[in-house]
Amino acid sequence: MEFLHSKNRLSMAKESKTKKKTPVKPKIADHPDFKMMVVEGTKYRTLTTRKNEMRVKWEAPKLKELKSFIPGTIIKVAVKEGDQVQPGDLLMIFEAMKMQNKVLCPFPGVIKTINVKEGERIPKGFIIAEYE
Amino acid sequence: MPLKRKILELQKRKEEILQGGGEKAIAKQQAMGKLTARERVVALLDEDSFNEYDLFVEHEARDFGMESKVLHGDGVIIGTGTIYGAPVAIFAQDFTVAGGSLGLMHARKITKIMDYALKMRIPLIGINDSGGARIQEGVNSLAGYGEIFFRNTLASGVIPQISVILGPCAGGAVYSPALTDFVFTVDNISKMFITGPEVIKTVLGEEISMEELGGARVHSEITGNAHFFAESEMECFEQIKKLITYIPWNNTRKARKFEPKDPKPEFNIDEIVPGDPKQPYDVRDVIRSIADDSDFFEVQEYWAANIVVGFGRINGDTVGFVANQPLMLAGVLDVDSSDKAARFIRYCNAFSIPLITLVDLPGYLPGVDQEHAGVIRHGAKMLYAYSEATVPKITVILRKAYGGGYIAMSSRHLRADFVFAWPGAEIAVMGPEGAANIIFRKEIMEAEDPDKMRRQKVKEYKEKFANPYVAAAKGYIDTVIEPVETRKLIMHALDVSVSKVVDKPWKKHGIPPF
Repeated sequence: MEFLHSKNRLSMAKESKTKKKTPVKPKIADHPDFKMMVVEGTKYRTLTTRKNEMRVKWEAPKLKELKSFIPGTIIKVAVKEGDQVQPGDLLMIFEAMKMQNKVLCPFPGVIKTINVKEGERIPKGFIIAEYE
Repeated sequence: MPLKRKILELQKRKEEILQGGGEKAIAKQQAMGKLTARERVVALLDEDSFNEYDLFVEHEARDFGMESKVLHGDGVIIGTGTIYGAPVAIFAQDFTVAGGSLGLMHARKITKIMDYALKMRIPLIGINDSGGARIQEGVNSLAGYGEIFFRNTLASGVIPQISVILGPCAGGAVYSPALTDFVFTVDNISKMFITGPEVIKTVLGEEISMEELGGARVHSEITGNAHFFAESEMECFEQIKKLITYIPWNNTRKARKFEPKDPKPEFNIDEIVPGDPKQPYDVRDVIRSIADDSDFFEVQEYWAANIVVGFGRINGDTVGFVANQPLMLAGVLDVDSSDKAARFIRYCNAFSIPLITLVDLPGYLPGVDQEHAGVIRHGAKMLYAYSEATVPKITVILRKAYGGGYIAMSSRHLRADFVFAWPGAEIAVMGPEGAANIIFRKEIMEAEDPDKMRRQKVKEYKEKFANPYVAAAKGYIDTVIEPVETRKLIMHALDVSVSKVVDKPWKKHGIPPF
């Protein structure tokens, strides 16, 4: 809502600028590159940095997904889909940065899906397996 | 006669070494759009001022067939010269000789000139253009880097250290520039990274070019590793020369005094800052309306542009400006801008450059990414840097100074020596909108028309608190001034602070929130 509102206002400002032309000195914030930003309840018109635009929106982690936090290679898969697992059980061996890491089960559950095969290379953030 | 022959022999020997890596390698260097190491040194220093040392150094490597290889000067040029008459020590890696790779003697030459710069208390300039460690020399190369890093740290805060990245600077090598005060980069030529694109591709499967990974633009805009960006090497050298005019030779001297000049009339200080605190403007114009000759030499112009830092002169003497930039991200403080400002403040303090802080900020940047990136720890760097600084500190509150941002921006409470506020200054715990929503939450919620009530309460709060007089009544600001008086008052404040003394408890060093 707020975003739409600000967008409308920006485009309105642009129109009025083109219609009226000279007499009023145009405000620099009327330039379409300016965006609305809220700080402590107040809206400001401002330019934004490349880094700020590139930022990834935060998402709540899903507890039932086993994700890789570093890229690497699956050396061994020790469980199969449908297996009942207990905390501490070996799920797989995952090699990253020249180190073979044991991936252990964090909490009891049933393995719903396994999305990797032995020998497969996976990127960071890949969902390796899902719990039920 | 024999002496004449010996002189001829010297000339012959020199001539051969001065060819560096030979015609082929030089042609390759030129094809990459790069000058040779010697051309660079000559272009940077005053005419005929360069004196080279260790021209005849030879490497001692005995393995992998290195014993039969001749590497002129072992791939690096060292010497001393002047820039606008100021003495500097310089080293320049020569990419035409074994790719500028760093072996034992190469490193010894660099550490020799570093030791010299430190002993003579003169600035050190390092031109980096190297493929990295000379693998054939094994652990000797690593030792060389370590010796350089140690000296960078030892000299830090004693002499100015300037790194110029004019080619690749990869792996461990890149930590020497990171330890120095200012890093200069040139578009399409500078390349800095810890692990290169090939390793990233094989290990992580991510494909990226050298330029996208660690080019001049990346380090000037995204990482903040670089302080200056230039389109060409010649432009880069002009930037370095200009910087040298602003900074002292070492931490016991003052920067050179220039002829005082009034700001240019086109920067009218009365017309730059809009009255409405939500309207943006370019704070650099305010700096230009205060500084001698409207000259402002900005540091890290493209990174964390929501805070502006750089050098200017007031009455002929160098000062450091720190200013919130309402044009970018509304001028908020965040992880990067705190980091940028804190480092600049510490530089100025180490080299006795007075600090002038211009305040206009709405607060800290909200967001999960900011909190998770440690904005608490990084934001604290600024408090630390300002509190620790003992150089004259002059603060001018142009407009908004809300909340934690007010404290961080060289407030009285962090021992600013002079705090001036313009009549439009709003010094308050938070912006009127936010404050009214909290203080009058109940009234607003219970009103028949909450929006109307909110607007009314915001107005009330604005009238009562959005001004400089509440803070002035407590003595937190020294005086409320008209914008046109700013330069005159800053000049006066600097005049009366020349013999400033601050007593501090003894300590080895503090523990800033790095």
